Amino acid sequence: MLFANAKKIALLLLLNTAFGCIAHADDNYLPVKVVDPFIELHTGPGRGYPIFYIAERGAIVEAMKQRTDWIKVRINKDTPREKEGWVSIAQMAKTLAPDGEPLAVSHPNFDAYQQRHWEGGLMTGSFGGADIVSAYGAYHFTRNISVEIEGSQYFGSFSNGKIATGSLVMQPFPQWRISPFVTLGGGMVYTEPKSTLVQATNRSDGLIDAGIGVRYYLTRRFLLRAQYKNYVVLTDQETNQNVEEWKIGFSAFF
Amino acid sequence: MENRIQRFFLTALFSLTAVYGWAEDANKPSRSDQIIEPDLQRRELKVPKIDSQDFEVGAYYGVLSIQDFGSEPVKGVMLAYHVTEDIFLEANYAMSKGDKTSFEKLSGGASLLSDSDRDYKYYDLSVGWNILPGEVFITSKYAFNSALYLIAGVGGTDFAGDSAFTANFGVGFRLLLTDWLAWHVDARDHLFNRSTFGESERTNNLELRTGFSVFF
Repeated sequence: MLFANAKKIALLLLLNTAFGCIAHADDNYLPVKVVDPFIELHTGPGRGYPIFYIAERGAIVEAMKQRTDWIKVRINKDTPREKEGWVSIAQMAKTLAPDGEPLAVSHPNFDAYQQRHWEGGLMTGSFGGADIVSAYGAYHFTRNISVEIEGSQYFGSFSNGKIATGSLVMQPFPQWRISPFVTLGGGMVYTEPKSTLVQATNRSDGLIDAGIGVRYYLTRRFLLRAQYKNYVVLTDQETNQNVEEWKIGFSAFF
Repeated sequence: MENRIQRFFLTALFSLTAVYGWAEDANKPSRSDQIIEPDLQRRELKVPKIDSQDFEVGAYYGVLSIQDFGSEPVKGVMLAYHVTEDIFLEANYAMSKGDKTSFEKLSGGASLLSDSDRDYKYYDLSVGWNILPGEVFITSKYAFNSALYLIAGVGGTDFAGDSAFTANFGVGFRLLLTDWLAWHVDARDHLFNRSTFGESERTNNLELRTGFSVFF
């Protein structure tokens, strides 16, 4: 009996916590006030989705979540007229948050681009004649200076390999839409000679690199990036190896 | 005598002022009483952040037609970042295993590749474009958001004891069952050069797959 009671209580507690969490999450939605004549609710997060409802001036809508440039809102909670739909961030930016200020939406534009901290992207090109694929992440300390970590794999006629580098990147003109940068870094290269062609063992070497490049802000969170790097592979052989690399790619910023 | 009277009165006066002073001190409101405490509490306005869900993670299963090495099951994982409502970046990693070539089957004993060299692994880094976003209607009750997308990218493939630069392109369909759960059907071609049979040749490795993903 006691055991059954304890189980019941535990279950109740569990349910309570579970529903409490949900209720809590619900309460956490940000209520905003419509101050424009109206805002439009679309059926999906995209410009083409039909408008199925309009929230008029003075209405309170709850901002639930954001996907790209769209915010999902709920209106008339717990009434027969409760609706959920997607509003563009351009319209949401004109609503008022509870503190009376216009809602601070993350609006990715050129200004936001210049203030960015995180950047990441994919690049491909030629590493000393070999095809190369890279992914990188960058953190911008100031508008001029950032650090980058990059991982690459290259596929050559005589060897394949993997490269990991860290770089310091300096951008002298961050206010330009097409903005050049210089980069200086170092890392490791792991080389796997093709066994069918040459008798050699896998090896890893240190490398240092210097390069120049350009970023081109396209739109929203999107930018293009092209760069040239000159690597010096610090081999065990008598001379160090010099490799030229060209790459182009897409990036996004956060 | 005069001096004594003077002393008496002065003492009395001092003690009186002292007592009065004490009393006055006691009557004086304390520092904390003096400031008028406003009755209303200042409301802490914490504007909650809107949860943004631009990332998508998922897993898929399908069939990969490895040129010369049969059509085999493939299983993989995906991670995507939706940059805009139109464009997304996607990374994939998947594994499969090549079967025997027709030659190997016909000749009986001869084996071109060791068992471990038949492991086929690839990764893709791609850019996708939601070219046909829309809604799908199932009966008159349900409407689901969807998108047909084109996707292309680069990556690498490990197969037959070699790694190769791989280009991929394809088309996919995403159906959003809820705001955060999506069902995918994808057709992809993976192109890479392979010199398993002596000279280097371009291979087409077509893949048909389906899977689920969640947005977070």
